[in-house]
Amino acid sequence: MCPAGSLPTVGEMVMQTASADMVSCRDVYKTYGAGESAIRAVDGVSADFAVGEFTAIMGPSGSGKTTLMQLLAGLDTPTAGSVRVAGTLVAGLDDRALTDLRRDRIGFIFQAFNLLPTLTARQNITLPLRLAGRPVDPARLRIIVDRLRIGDRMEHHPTELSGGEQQRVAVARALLAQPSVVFADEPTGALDIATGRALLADLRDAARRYGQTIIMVTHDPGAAAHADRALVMADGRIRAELRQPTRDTILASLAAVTG
Amino acid sequence: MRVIVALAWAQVRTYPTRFLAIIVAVLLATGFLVATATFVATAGEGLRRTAAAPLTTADIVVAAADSTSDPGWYRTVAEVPHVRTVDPEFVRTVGVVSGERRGSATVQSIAATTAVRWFDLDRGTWPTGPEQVVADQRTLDELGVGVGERLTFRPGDGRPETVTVTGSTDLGFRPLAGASFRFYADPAYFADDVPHAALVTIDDPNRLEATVDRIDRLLPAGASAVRASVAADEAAARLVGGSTQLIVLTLALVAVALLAAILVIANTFQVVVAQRVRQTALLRLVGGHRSQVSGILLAEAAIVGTAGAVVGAAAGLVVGFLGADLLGISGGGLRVNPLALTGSVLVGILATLFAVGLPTRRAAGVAPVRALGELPEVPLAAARVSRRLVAGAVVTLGAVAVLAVAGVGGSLPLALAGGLLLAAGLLLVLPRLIAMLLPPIARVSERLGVAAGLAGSSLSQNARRTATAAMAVVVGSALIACLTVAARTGQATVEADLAARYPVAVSAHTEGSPVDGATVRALAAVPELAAAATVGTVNARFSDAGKATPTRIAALPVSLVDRLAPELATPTEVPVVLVPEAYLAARGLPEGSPVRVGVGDRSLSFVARTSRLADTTGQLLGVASADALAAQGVPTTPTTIWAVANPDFDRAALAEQVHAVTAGDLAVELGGGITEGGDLAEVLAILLGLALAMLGVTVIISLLGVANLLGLSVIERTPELALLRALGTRRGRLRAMLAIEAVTITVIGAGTGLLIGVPVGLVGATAAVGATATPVIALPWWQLALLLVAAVATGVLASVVPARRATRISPALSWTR
Repeated sequence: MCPAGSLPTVGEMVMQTASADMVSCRDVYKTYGAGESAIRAVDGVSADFAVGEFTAIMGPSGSGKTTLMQLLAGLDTPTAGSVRVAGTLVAGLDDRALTDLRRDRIGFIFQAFNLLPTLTARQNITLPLRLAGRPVDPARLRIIVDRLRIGDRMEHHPTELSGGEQQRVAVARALLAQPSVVFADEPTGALDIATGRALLADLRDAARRYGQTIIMVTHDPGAAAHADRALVMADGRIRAELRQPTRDTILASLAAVTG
Repeated sequence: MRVIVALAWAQVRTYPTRFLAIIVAVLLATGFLVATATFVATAGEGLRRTAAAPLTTADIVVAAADSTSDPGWYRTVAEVPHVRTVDPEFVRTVGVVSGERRGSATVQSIAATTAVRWFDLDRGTWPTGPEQVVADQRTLDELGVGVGERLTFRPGDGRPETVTVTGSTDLGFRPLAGASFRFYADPAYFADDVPHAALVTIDDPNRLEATVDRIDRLLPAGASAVRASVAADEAAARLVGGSTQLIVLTLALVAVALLAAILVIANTFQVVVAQRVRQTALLRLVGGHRSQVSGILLAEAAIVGTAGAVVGAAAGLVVGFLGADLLGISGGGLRVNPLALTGSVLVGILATLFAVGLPTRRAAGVAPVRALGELPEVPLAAARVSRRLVAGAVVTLGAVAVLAVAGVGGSLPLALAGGLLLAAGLLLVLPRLIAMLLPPIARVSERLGVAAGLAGSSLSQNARRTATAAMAVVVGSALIACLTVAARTGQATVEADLAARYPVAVSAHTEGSPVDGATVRALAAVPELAAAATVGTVNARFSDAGKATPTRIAALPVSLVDRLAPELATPTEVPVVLVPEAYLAARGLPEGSPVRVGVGDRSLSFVARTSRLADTTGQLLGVASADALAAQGVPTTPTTIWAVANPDFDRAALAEQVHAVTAGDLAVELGGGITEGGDLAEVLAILLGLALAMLGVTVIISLLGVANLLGLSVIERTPELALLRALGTRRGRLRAMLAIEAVTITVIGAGTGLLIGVPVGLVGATAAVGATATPVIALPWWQLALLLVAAVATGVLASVVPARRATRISPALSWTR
């Protein structure tokens, strides 16, 4: 369709960061409550997420995967340990800098309620750029929305879009601002199987094309199979790491850690 | 910046009904402000024209010296070069009696020079002799006479004279207060009166200044000449100056309405913010700064505030002008001060922005992570709240102390300061106290049935919100309670004071001829009067003591002695005569001094005591007992009727009845208690009515707040309400639940308002009259009870629309979340 050369290459993206790891964490703990009733949601996790890598974080309910994602995205503060995003130590940032980091470096997609109901699809997609006061490149927007097959839905409000279309609008928003890393929390949770698969294919395609790092939390082995690697969590710890996972290897691993 | 405005606009456009309450609240408050400003400007110009009109036709106005007794003092002015005409101006105050009514009237002279006459006749002809007058049509309508018909004038100390109305005019205005009738007569009517001024025209407008100077030099000391335009401005300023207090009162009520509007706006935004926590979190998640989140809310406030303020200003313009027009003082056309108009709109917008301050802080504090799902809201820091509570309690206690001092010391300014302080303190304390009151209410209501239980728990779950909605009701009801209590107590105090100072409620007397028996019977039949009797009088010569010297002696009949003058009851060796206090003072005599009074060709001995009876009935009298006078063989004529009123009589009603039954008797003049205090009572009643009507705006705003709160909570609780329906809750029960919620809020508000308003009103009234009279505490029980009834009724009313929405919720909605 359009030459990929007009967009930043993987090499260019790597140059923006100090190391090849876009996101990393070291000995991260997260404890809720205190004393007897204290709950360790994340119990000493260290992990690295390379530039352009699509990682799925797997695990049963209560395994701490969503908490870990929130810590990695700077949405929550770890009780102990450190998190780096694009080379920046998240712990040292004030609300302003943290907001700028989210706006300029991070994209979010989650299960539902990704969009502001008062804005059209186009307005939702361009929102982060407009909040940053950055110009919107119409050609790039065109390419992204066409590739996600929502080019003719741009002037509709979220309530007028199907669930799959809403999620693709969220993906488009996460891609347009060229964030270094996209966090996705159960992005297919509210979609039927076929639509979910198509969305994951779009995500992986985008990661490869634009060199974006993708960290996806899911409990669906079928979804995790689209990733380059899968981290399997249980009881707040990473119990297994699978390269090029398949549905079967994931199910086996899950059975092993929960068994 | 543009994205913020765009986001704000998207919110307003998507959910216009959520902002409706805010728009209407701003609209009402701003409209009120603009209506006041427009009314003041329009009425001011109208009044200015009215006051200046009689002076606009002349070039120079010459005022007489106060001491002048020469009816021709102005004649020398005609000799000054360039003076073309000189017209003396007379004025007399007379009693006027038509077949239907009696009242007091001002009679002004019409200039003999046609060019100096400042109005034209619409019907009839100009008066040409002393027995002819013209009047404005309104005066004629109120007196029930037409052109060509006759009236009776009764100058203060003269015989009644019959005049014919020869013409009428439509002046297009009527005076604001002191509503006396106005007539215009030929200078011949004023016979030997001393003119108070003269209107001069000159033949050369270029020599105006020089001519004023020459006239001024010619006049005796004390008299003065000024340009007519200057005199007109001064007259206008005097007239308009009198309405300053009214403007201040209105502005105070505008401030109250603004306060209620701010409470409603703040609450509405609070709910709006609570409803879009996830949206706000999402905005923060995708990179919106706290300042941008605040900016969006402020922009929304600016948009709806501007819409409300502009529409309100337009409505206020119309209402203000119509108000002035209705009172007949819009003669100068619509007048608006552009600065006041712009200022009012700005005040409306700023009030909205101010009100959105707290909700904005709360919105900006929403954590981005909340976009990912429902998380319990982190409660606000308790320390800050309790610090506010302590500060509010300190201010409130200080205010109570100030009010107590003001009440005891009778200082109105101190009472006002205390009231303002109290308002400030209560605004800080009361929402917390009301919020604390809600959980116990919820527990009690649980025992009263399912609907009441649901209503109670809903109210206490959103305690802060409920408290703010109740606060708006508190503001309105506290002020209504305060004003009615103050007015009732003030009225009772004035009544008691008048009753003490005017022992005779009704006095009717002739100039010396026997009073008409029909009038005596008619007065005796008035139900408000406890006792009425004729009193004989006789001409008497008291040693001269200036203005306080009585000219007649009245013989008080036995039937009135006990009620009016017990000191005359027991016969004494030397009979007692009651005289005005001022009379003894002027003669330097102590109480109980022997005096001699000439009656006919005899000289009688009395012991003089002072009594109000002697100078409060419209005549200056010496009063002795009828028996004592009869014993001395003094013949009297029944020229006077005195009547005592029942306790707790209605002064206005009595005055009206007495005027009605005496309208036919031209020979009598009325005096006594009913002719006094009426003006003050009337002004008080007008001010109270005006204030209550204007507080209506505040009440509407606060009810709007209650209705809006319920409406928004219905939207918010859709799944809960749907679940209730799915579990088999009938529509009627949902409706009852919302009605109970609304009534609870309005009753808490009205009850708290009463608790605050009643004591403050008592203190205010005590402080206002305390220095001049002994305060009589009286509570308007009926009005206060009505306030509570109205709270219940309006609460039910406020729940109608939200309830309709709630009952339309489909039970199926409980599954979608």
